[in-house]
Amino acid sequence: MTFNNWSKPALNWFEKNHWRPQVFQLEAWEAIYNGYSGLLSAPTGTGKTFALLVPFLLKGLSESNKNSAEGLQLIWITPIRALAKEIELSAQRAVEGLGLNWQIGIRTGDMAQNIRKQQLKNFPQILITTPESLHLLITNPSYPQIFKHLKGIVVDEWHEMIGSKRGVQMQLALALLSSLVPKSQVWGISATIGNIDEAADVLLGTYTGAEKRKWIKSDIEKKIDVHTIIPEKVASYPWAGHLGIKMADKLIPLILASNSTLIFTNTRAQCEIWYRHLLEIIPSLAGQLAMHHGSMSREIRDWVENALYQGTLKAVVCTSSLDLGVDFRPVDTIIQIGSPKGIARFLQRAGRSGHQPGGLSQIYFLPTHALEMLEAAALREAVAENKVEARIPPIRCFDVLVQYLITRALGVGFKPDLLFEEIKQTYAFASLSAEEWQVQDGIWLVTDRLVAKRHRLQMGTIVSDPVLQVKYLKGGFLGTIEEWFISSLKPGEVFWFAGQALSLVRIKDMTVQVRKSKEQKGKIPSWQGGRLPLSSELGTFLRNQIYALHNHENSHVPEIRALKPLINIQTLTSAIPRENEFLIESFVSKEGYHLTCYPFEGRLVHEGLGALIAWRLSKIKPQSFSIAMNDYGIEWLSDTPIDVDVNLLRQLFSVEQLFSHSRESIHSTALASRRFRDIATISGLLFKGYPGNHKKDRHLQASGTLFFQVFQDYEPDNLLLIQAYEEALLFQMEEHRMFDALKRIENQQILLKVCNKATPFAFPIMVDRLREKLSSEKLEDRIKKMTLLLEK
Amino acid sequence: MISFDLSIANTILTLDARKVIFWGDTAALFIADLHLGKISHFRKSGMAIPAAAATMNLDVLESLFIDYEPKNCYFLGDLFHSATNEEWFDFRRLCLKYNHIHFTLVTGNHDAKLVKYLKTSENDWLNRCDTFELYPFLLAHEPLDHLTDNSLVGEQKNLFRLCGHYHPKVKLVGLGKQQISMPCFHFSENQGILPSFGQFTGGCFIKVREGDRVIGVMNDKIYPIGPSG
Repeated sequence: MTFNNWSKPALNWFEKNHWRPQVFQLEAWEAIYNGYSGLLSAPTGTGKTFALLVPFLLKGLSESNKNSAEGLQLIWITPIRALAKEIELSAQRAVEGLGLNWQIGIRTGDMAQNIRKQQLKNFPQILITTPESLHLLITNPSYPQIFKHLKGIVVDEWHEMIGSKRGVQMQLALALLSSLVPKSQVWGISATIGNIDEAADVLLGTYTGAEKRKWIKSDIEKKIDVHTIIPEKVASYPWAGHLGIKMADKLIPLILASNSTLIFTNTRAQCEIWYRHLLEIIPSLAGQLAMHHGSMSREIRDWVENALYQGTLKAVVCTSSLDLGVDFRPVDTIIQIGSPKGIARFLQRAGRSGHQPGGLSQIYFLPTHALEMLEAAALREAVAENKVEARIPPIRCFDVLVQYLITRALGVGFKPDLLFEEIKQTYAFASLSAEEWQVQDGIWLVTDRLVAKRHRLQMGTIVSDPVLQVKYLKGGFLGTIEEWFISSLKPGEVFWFAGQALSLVRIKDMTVQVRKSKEQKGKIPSWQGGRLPLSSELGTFLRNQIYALHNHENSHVPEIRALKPLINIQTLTSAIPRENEFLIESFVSKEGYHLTCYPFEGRLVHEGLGALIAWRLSKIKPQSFSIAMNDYGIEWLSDTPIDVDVNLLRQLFSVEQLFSHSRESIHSTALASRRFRDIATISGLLFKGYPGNHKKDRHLQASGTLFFQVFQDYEPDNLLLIQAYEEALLFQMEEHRMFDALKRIENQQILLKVCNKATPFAFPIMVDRLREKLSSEKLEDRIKKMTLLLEK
Repeated sequence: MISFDLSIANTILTLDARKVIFWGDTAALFIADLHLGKISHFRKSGMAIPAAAATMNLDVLESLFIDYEPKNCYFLGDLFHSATNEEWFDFRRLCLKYNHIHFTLVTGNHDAKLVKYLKTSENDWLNRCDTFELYPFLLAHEPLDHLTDNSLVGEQKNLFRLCGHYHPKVKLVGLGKQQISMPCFHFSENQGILPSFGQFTGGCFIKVREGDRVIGVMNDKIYPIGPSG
């Protein structure tokens, strides 16, 4: 059958609906007709689902007379459960439109056990699932049967997975499916990312059947309008902090004039604060304002999403929990509170508005402290140049591999030599060597039922802090909260959660029982982690804004004009660096002796540089440092003077021996130990306990730090331990970025300023709570200078 | 410094960096929270912790028997982590090798399950009790939260309590946001809490009140910490 004849039913169906297939859709259909695997890059809401779904349906049509096919034909992977429903609807339409008699099934962690069991008996032709649920399916002994007739696997939103361990998990599953059914075709869908060329290679590995590959690109572009909300008086605007609530009034007209608005905050705590504040200043919004974040219960979130979809909400205060997901057509305005830290994230959020064809995306940026005005100017320029970040795919994640080995040993078991060949086809484990793969011959199968149970409970690559469930006394699940926060409260104390004032009644069996409170004041919970670092791409734009302050190239930019008073203070008390200068400041306070510098490379790179420079300093003389960093710079604090001059600083910031020095500095800090916590959880060393039954298995629980210590002492060459160091170097410190930063600094002049007190640049770093430590002093000497805190 | 003499209850206790106390007057060794078999228990459940860590505990224990030549050895609870296991049998072999030492277990919460097993004749070598009066000390597993605890009867009220259970750790702070934390011995008016002897056991931070003595242990050394530095 020719392609024209083959695709006729789809074209007819399109015509009947008055649609016209787009060029990229036709290209995808033809590529799949010809047996290709590949990657499709297209923005959301442009018809990418039909581009890859329709051709697999056409295959079914052409190969079967009964309009029905035996067994599972197509797996559609989505990284977010919320999207499954929408894909199901599209698939349903296409299946009916083409007159097929196919079943469509969803399989995610949200679904009841009995539905999942039923599915196993009579498998649907199309399965919509997540990477985690797909892996769970592999633990079922009948999986080779289930996948036998598979024609294709589509990985949706691949850009969301490629840079994380979920992406590695996905690759392992793809290698298995390709080896089971060599003729199956693998396709990915990705939004634009900086390394889109690499994205296909990572997805397709070297699996059998995926040798024929194509990259299809849609040329649809979205128009975006970026506005910054500028405070009238910058002088009174905070130098640091993360609220910006002072400017909340400015949001009122925006929200009232829009059809529906999404207000993005960077943390769940901010989300809670803004929701409350907006209700206070715009009481008329009551009933039309909602909030949405990842710790709220699925039910409440579903309700909010649905109301957004129906257009019954005026505004929703949210976090990255609404970055992805179904299109909310009524939304026409986006407000971003605080820096989004990355260009892609900013664009993604902007794109949540203006879904009508040819619609314009409107995004307003509200800076939360003065220096973020610089970020606003940088963002605007980056958007104009359409420069988005690359997402670096992790490789050699032994924790994910260890977890996967147990997964495979649960299903039908595995033979090591065959599995080795299979795994080596993935991008992540292409370099796995026979020395590293020391798995004894034979067939590996888990026989212990408890081990199997624990494994199924713990599968996945997303590690979260221990949480407690928040429930009303009378029942009704509100969401989850971290243990450390709730343990700081006494019964009767009031806290805000999911927009409600709640009074703590008691904590019972990992459940926080609460009742509604009428009080207006209460503690706001915060959740650890999740602070995103400035991307290197945005960092470059930011540095250029600072350098441009000198020749007044950007003095016409409104954000920069507003920032003038602060820039003047920085100039008076220290300096604004030029393009060929690297600013370092030193000053003394009652806390001790401070040294600060400003590479503008983002928090993670600064963490690495902070440890490296402290380590180099500590080699010169015994000294102890507490290191703080933010996205702009680094602060070293010591209880004794930090003696530096320009020559010494030159050496300290030298790129020479970076490789060995950064490794040694990692050993002197807690960086690797912190990475190890996630590794230990993913690889199954850390057991988090059975849900709702935390106490019973305490005997199997220990902290990640303890594990790290034991491995350090007794098995220093363990691959998981080595992985912790590698991750710290590659993903935490981002060694290549450290190299680039030091290279750049080597070509700059060092501008050392001795200041009287903290400058506008230094202040936001000092107030940051997260600190790294490094010391080369003898323990005895350190203890002599320290004191014991007495209980009062 | 690897050991430190502390005068308490009109006698002198030697605090050892190996996280034990030796009382010279009666040649008694006090050890808390050994958690035998924690590592094997994890390994048996499919969590691959280095096996070598398990033997470390026993090596240290033997070094103490050799260095101090105790006549009595008191385990202040949580000798076991979970069930009997390889580590237990290695431990018993070691204790029987030094059969001139009298071994006593003051049972702790983790040991509860094993009481039945310990009653068998093969375990005659190990005395067992819930608390042990060794004038002027009262050996127990759990510390008292309130020094006026009503559960104490008669004489016991006047005894100085030596115990474990908490796995105490101490946090020190200094100028320049300096911080150090380490396992410690924690002595207050009526009781002394020992650090956990076992490898691979966590800990919790103590609350220090005025007049308390805190002696930290880190990297095989002992650090008496004054109330102010």
